[in-house]
Order: sequence, then structure tokens, then C-alpha cells
Amino acid sequence: MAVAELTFGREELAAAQDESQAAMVWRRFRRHKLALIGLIIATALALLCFIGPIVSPYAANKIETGGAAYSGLNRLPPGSKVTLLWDYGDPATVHDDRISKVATGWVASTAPGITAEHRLYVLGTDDNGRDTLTRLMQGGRVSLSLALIVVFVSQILGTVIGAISGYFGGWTDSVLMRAVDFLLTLPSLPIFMVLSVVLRERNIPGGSVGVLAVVFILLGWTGAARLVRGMVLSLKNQEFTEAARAMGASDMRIILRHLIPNAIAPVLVSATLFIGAVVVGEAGLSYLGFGVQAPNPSWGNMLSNAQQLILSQPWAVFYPGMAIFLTSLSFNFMGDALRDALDPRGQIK
Amino acid sequence: MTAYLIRRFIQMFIVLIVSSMAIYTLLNLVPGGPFDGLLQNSDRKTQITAEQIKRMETMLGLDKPPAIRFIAWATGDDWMGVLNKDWKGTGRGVIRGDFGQSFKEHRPVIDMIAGRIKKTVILAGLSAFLAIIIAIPIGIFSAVRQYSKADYAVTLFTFIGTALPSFWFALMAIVLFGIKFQQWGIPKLPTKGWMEPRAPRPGTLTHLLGVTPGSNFDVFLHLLLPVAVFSLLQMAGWTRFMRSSMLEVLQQDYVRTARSKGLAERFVVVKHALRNALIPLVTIVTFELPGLFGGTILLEQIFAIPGMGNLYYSGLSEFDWPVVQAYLLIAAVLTVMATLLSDILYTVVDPRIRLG
Repeated sequence: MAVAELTFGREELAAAQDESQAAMVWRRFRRHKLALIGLIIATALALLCFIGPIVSPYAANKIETGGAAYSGLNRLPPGSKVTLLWDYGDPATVHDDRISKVATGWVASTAPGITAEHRLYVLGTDDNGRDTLTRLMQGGRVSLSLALIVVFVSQILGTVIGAISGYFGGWTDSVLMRAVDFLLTLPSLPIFMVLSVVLRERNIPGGSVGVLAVVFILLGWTGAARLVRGMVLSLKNQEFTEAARAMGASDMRIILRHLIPNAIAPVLVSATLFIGAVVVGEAGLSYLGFGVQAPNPSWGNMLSNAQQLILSQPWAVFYPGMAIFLTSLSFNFMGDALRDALDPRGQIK
Repeated sequence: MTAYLIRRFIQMFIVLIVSSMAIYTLLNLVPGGPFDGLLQNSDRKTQITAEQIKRMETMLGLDKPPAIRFIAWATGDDWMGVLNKDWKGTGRGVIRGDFGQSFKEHRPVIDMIAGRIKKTVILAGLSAFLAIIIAIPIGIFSAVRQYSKADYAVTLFTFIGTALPSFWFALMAIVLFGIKFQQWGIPKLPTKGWMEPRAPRPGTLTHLLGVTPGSNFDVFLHLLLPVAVFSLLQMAGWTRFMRSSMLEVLQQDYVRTARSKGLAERFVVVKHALRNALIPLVTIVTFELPGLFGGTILLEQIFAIPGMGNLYYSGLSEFDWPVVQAYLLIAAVLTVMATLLSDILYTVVDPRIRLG
């Protein structure tokens, strides 16, 4: 874009000619250390959640300890017995260097002949005797995939609606934008709760997770629609659009090939921030009991479950909340850096 | 201005009618509705018959067609004898301040709200107030010292604060100030409720200070944790906003002019820049107030505060639709009022803007 190039430095311009836009955005994104940390944390969390349950010797919903809450290894008093990999069947005494043996001990936990109390539950078990770490990872699968699906669908929906609204104008625009205004006047958390009650019994595929996805998508497209509409309003009268029209391109083609690609940058930023918001929102709703339903773990309903044990196991509320917090924080970091990286008027250092 | 206000009020009224109708329709779509639990009862002795359900429906006014029910809810059914003798009731309708009878508690919803709305307003209002008066100076400080160590610390704090889930932060506060304090032998802070239900036990702060249960001081102590948690989270977002808005203003020409006149930096910041930097903050704060009202649902649940959010939560869990409708209507009114207020405030703080 002409405007963008004017504010670039000379070296920047030379560099920009050699690299693709994606490479430039990546180069500018990398300058934000916090965003890189965020990227690493988010990737690590995703890997942990999607691979962890496969590796784990426990199942997320299986009762391991006969329904009693067990502490994690690092909470065991000295002298307690746990099973470590190198001495099957003969429970070793907890040593001071026990933390380093956690990983190996964990894998050996389901070896035959080892009783429940000698197995290793890295983060302990919940009040039903289910392994907390496995549930945390399984819950993360639910929370993260929900967030990704919701953000993907709602942002595409919003982009298309916003582009149509901005491009055609007139009554299409009025109707769609009044709908957006209306959805924005609804108080968010209470409406999410009502919708999840309304949809709960409706046989939506995916059960309570599906219900949550529908609720978030129904109310989540408005932001993207507004952003894209605003961009399209200014883009549709620029020369390149008129050139496309003069060459006989259809409305559909102009919208999909010319307008949306040029209006997508702010949507990418808001989508990144929205991922964190959906993870927090899911947790809030599940915490209140209007989201993912037991026995399926999610970070939110694990938190509300842990709250009931707050007197006997106060640390149990720590893990799921920390997972939500880290996810939300890392996507916020990335969104912020992406905003800078995609901003054509951005200062180049 | 008057013409503008009249037009806005008419628009607001239409929006409210549309959203009440939408909510009404939504609630009518819930399968089973308020009797769902009763119908699932498989015990022969206490199982209810279709006839009993019919009688209860008549009692709660659910036997009328949905559209009539909505009109009765909105305008009352005391005049409805004109249309149909069976529809006549005693309700005066929302427009005359009657939100109907609660399905569960069989008493007017307005009475249930009356005792609770004050608590929610105090909780949300106090938190918002604290958040603003702390966010403004921190935001200014951080903007004036851009890229200093303090600025980085503030920025990090705002990132953490906006990412923290409120309910988790609240739970961790309860663990620290309630449970851990007790373990360490420090007087623990009240973590539950609006006031002490009975004489406080030893080891609590309320006992140490000899608080009389139910006194204002007791309420104050109970509000410490929820208000601290809530305002810290609000503060994070607003500080960030204040900082960026201040940074933008400090780059303006008139600020440079003020500096070149030789005015003291302090004077430039406080007298020239601050006034304009506040404009976006004022609007965003007003705009977010209804969100605070909704945000109390989670906090009231965690801290067991019997406020509006708590009422809504139980109403929704127990299919008590009149309660749910009343809450959502109040929330919607707050939202449209806040939008209008923030538009008006815009003209007050920036005379260049005219509403038309």
C-alpha cells in the first residue's frame, strides 16, 4: 500500500522488497520478547495437552484410588512410599531428590501389582480419586480445541458478514449492523448463561462442549464483522477495487479476492486476543456449571470441583487456574505483538 | 440536544422491547421449563400428575398463549379481563414496576431484588471507583516515564491483570488470606458472605477487632477481599488505557507549545494533557459499567455474597424465569443507559464533539 511505504525507512523499503509479507510480519513479531515467550508457552501447553493424555498411564475419568483424594508426590510427607521405575513392586522411600524421579516414576505407575496408594500422582488426585494431571491435560484439550474452533468459525463468519455489509451498503448494511448493535447491548456473561441453558437439551453434536461452541459463535462474530466492515468501507472506493470492477470481476470475486485479503490484518489480531478470551470465558461458564459438564474435565469445571476441596487441598485450585491464566496471557502477548507487526504505520527500529 | 435525547430515548425503548421479547422467546424455548425436575421424579407416591401440572401452570399464569404471557408480563394482567375473562389477574406489569411472582419462592420478584441490588451496586461501584482513582495516576506516571523500568513493571502488571481469570484470582485470594493465614496463625480475613452470621470465632480478623455482627464495619471487612480482587482486575485494563491515551496526547502539538512556552512539566501534564487524555477513559469506563454488573455473578458466587448475580445464578439454575427476566431487563437497561451516558459525557469533556 502506498501509505505504508511512505512511512518506511529506506533500508526498510529495500528489505521489504526482498521478503514476503509473512516474513516481514514474522521479523517484526520476533522483536517482541514477551510475544516469543507467549508463543513458546502456548505451544508447550498445546503439546502437553494433546500428547499428554496418550502418554499418561491414567485415564481422565477413571477412578484410581478408590475415590479418595491423594496428594501429589511433592506433597507426601518424608518417608512415604512411592514406586519408581527402577524398583518395580518394591516401593522406594521418598528421597529429597524425588522431584527428578517424578517422570520415570509416573510411567511405572500402572505396572501390575502396584497398589493405588503406591502409584505416583504427580499433581495428586481429586476427591473422586482421578489423576489431576491427566484430567488437566484432557481438560486442556477440551478448552483449547473449543477456543480454536470457536475463533476460527466466528471470525470467518464475522469477516464474511462484515464484508457483505460494507460492500453492498444500503438496507443489507442497516439490517446487519442493527443486529450487531443489538447483540452488543446484551450483557455478555448473563446472556451466555441463558443461551447455554436454552441449548442444553437440544441434541447439539459434541454435548456440552458443542453447546458452548454454538453459544460463543452466536455472539462472537460481531467484533470481526465491525472491523471488516470498517475496512471494506474505505477499501471499496479505492482504485484497485474499481480496476477489478472495470475488468468485469463479479461482486463475489471482488469481496473474496480483493477486499477480504486487504481487510484481514485487524481480524488476525482480534482473533488472537479472542482465543484467550474464549478460554477464560469457557472456564468461567464451566466454573458456574453452565459450560462443560461432568464427568468431562475442562479447566473451568476442574476449578469449581477443586473449590469444594479448598480446605483440605488448597493447592488443587492452583493448577487449572494457572493453565487458564498462562493460556490467556500468552495469547494476549502474541496478539499485542501481532498488532504491532501488522500495523503498516508501525515504527521500524 | 433535546431533540437528540428524545430520539435516543425512543431508540432505547425500542431496543429494550426487542431484547425483552428475545429473552422471553429464548426462555420459552427451554424444553421442560420449570416443571422439568418435577416430571423426572419417578417415585410413585410423590409423582405429580398431568392434572396437578395443569393447576400449577394456571397458578403461575403459564396456561396462556406465549404472546399474551409476554404482554401480561410487560403491561400487567389486571386489565386483561377486557380481552378474556380467564386472563384477568393482579399483576401490574414491568412498566408499572411489577416484575411478577417468583416461581420458586412465590413472592414478588421486586421484593427479592430490593434487598440485593444495593449489595451488588456497592460491590461493583466501590471496585470501579477504587480502580479508577488508582489507574489514572499509575497510567500517567507510566506514560510520562515511557520505557523506564517502572513503565515496564506497570505494563507487565496490566498484561497479567487483563489475563487473570477473575474467579481464579478470587479463589487464590481466599486460599492465601483465609486458609493460609489461619495456618500461619495470622488472623484470617472474612472470605464469605456479606456479614458475620453469628459472633466471630477466635483466629479471625473480625474476632480480633471485636466486630459486632452486621455492623457497617463488619460489612466493610467482608468487602475487603472481593473489592480488592475486583478492582485490581479492572485497574489493569484501565491503567493500560490511561497510559496509551496519555502517550498519544503528550505527542500533540499543543503540548509541545505548552512546553516551549517554558511551563513546568508538571503543569503541562496535569493541566494540558490530562484533560484530553481522560476523554477516552471516561467513555470506556462508562461503557464498561454494565459489564461490571454482569461480572459480579462470578464474584458473588465465589465469595457467597447474596447480591443480584447470586440471585440470577440461582434463578437460572432453578428455571425461575421471572427472576431471570427481571435480572436481564435490569442489565439491558443499564447497558443502554451506559451507552447513552458515555455519548453524552463525550460532549461534556470535549466541547468540539456535538451530538446530532
